[in-house]
Amino acid sequence: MSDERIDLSALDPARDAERWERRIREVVAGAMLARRWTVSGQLSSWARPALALAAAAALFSWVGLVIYAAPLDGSAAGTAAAAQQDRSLTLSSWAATNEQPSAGSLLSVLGGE
Amino acid sequence: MPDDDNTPVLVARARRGEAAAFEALVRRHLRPAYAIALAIVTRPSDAEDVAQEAMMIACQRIDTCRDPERFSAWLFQIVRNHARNWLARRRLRDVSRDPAPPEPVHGGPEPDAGAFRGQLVAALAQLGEVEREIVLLHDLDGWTHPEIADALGISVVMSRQHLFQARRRLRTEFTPVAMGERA
Repeated sequence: MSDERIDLSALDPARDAERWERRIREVVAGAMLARRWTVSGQLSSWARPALALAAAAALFSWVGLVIYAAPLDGSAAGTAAAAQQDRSLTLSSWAATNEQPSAGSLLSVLGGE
Repeated sequence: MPDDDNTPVLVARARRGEAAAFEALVRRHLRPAYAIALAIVTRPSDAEDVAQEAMMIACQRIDTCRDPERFSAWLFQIVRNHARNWLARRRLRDVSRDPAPPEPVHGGPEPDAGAFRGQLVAALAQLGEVEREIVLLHDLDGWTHPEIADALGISVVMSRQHLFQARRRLRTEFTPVAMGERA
């Protein structure tokens, strides 16, 4: 009757167990290979914008440096750099020794009048 | 056999790239994928190729499976799409060439296995696609009606009705030898 199972085993692909097993292995191997591609693809898709961002940041810094350093001639630039270094050293020594600078010293080091 | 509590875990592990999880998913779902492919392409050897390729596609796109608890339903949609594309290409190919040669029989011990299988395929071809899917999942792969209903997005009652109709039509189309009395 119609509620009895129909024997469809002639259509069962797993009847040839060796061949079926080979297919399973091929799918798994293909999946793993594709997965590796996907992971590297994801990495490269992240790497590209990150590189572009880094390049843009480098470009902006360089442009900024050129703009701010351009008005200074060689000796003036050197003096400015030395003054900056002095300021850093003074601030570092205050931090290291826990010394509390006076308001005047602080203004002087930070460039105030 | 189809999606159980373990399937979402396997999907999650497969997403992390674990080969063992991929293998477990493939072992569990390749045969049902074949059943769905066979319901569309109606040639067993083509269905094996379609199932294999569709399973590969599913593994590649496993990150896009939104509901891992319904992995089968998601996989079946990929299989159906791939099978329909395959069928369209095959029709073009068959028009430009001679008709396809007889299906090779793998693992069939009987000398008339090829003819028997051919008759079975011809009888199945008389059914509607959904009837074929249901009778193959139920009688070939051993799925229950609730499992079929969930994977195909139909009610359990509809699944039962389709199976009843499919079996009745198959028994009408085919000789009694095949219908359970052969084995």
